[in-house]
Amino acid sequence: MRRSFLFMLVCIMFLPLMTPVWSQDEFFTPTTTIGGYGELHYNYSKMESQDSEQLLDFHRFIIYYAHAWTEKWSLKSEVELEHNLVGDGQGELELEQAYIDYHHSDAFGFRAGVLLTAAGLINEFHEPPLFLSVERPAYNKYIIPTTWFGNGAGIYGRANGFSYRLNVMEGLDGSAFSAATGIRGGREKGYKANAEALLYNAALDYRGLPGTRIGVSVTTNNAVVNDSVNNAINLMEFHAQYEAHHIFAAVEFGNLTFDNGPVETARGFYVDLGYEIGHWFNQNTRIMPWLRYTDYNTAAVTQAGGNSQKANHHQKWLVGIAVKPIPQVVFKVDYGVDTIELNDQSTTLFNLGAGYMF
Amino acid sequence: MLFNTMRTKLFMLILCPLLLWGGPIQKSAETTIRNQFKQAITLQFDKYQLPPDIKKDIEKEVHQSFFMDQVYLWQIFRQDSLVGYALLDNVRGKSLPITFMVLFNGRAEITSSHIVKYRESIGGAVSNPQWQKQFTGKDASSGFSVGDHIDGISGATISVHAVSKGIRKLALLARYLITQPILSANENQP
Repeated sequence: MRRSFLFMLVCIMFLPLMTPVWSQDEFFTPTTTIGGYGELHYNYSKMESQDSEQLLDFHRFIIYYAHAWTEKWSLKSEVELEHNLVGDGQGELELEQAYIDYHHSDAFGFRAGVLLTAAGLINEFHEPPLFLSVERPAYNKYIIPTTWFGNGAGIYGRANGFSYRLNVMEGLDGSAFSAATGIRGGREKGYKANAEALLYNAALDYRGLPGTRIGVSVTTNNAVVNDSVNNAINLMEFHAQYEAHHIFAAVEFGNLTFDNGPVETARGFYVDLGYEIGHWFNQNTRIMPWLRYTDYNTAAVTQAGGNSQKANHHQKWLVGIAVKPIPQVVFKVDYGVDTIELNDQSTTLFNLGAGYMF
Repeated sequence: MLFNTMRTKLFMLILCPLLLWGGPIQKSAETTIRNQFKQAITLQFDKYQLPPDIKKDIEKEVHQSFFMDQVYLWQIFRQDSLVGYALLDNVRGKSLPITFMVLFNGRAEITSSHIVKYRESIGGAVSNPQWQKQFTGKDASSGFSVGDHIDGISGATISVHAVSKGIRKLALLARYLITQPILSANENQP
């Protein structure tokens, strides 16, 4: 199965050689584009009976750099500086995307390099003005480990409102999975990543109705724990978003199984509801109050059972306001409480954020 | 056995994209225009040179530049009478041009709009006819603001804003064009 898939991928790589040069049109000129996004955060959190923690963090600064040699052949890349500094165990400098893109037609394209895993609403579209909260939803951190990227190759395309992505990527490091953070620690981020057990990722989305996106994805990897042990994971998720008539609604649900570990299942969901009120005042500024309810458990089913299934079960609600003076700039504030089922332990959260994209 | 199946798969993989090949822009745009009309029509094509002052005024109003100093213009005739216009221009998506076309009736109202060519790997949902339908019936004085008058598309933010502005730009140009002698003089000369 794996061999045949790889063989097909290699064959697809040679397909572009058949492209005639005349397919270029009069509107295309070779272009280099710079873009980017960034976000500054203030985070206040206070766990019951403990001192509060306050941070002012320039969480992400990203430079997007693209070059199109021809209409069909281009390079897309994103370099990210996290937490404004790279030092001993602090901050990160990451190449989040860097791929050669061959856009054959609307229905078929091919890319190879550092890719984003196609999973959930946010992993592929993670710029701050595109989601409501200051921090990305917890679901998109612990169930889908956003930003989830790695070395690989894939095909993509769209037709009749549907779009698909099929990716074969580096595997996850099974020894770095944990009950508290799921597969997040297992991301190899393109660093001399494991190619013994590759990760397969397939996603399908429908955007045929204005303002609506509905999709599913499946990701599977026989993650290597050590030379003789594997822990296969399988992530299935559903996502939907509606943004029209001044309403914003989003829902995501994901189920992650492990076939050989102390944790057998992780799962979670969240629901977002917002209403844009700027238009009441006839303003161009978009003002969106919103609320979110999240429930996720990175160790929902464990071999040990009992309290170990409650220790990582978070129930979290958040309310906030996102203000966009222009579509590319956002200021955010949110407040919420995160409760862990075991001992009913609560953390109060208050966040402020400023973000941009271009 | 495996080899046989592989060969079939490979053949299909190579063949499918070749069947989906697109033609040059003008030809593909004209096919789209003809598909909008039930009866036979004739098309008169021009590369319309934008008058510098009009170009500047529209760009200032919309906060978006025309792609070049000219746009593609078709006058659409049915049985020798002018029934509408089509204008084609490009806007920049995240990094590549998006070629789009807007059809107008004689009163410069939008009768339909289309993405003629989309070159990016993401954001292509702006091509969906259901999304494009939102522009039908609008004219230069209508609202084109995303969120108020036009619904967005998740995962296509840049394209949605660029194309919405682009269509408004062509609506403003159409309002100017219908007053111009270059068009009315040709009215009965397909």
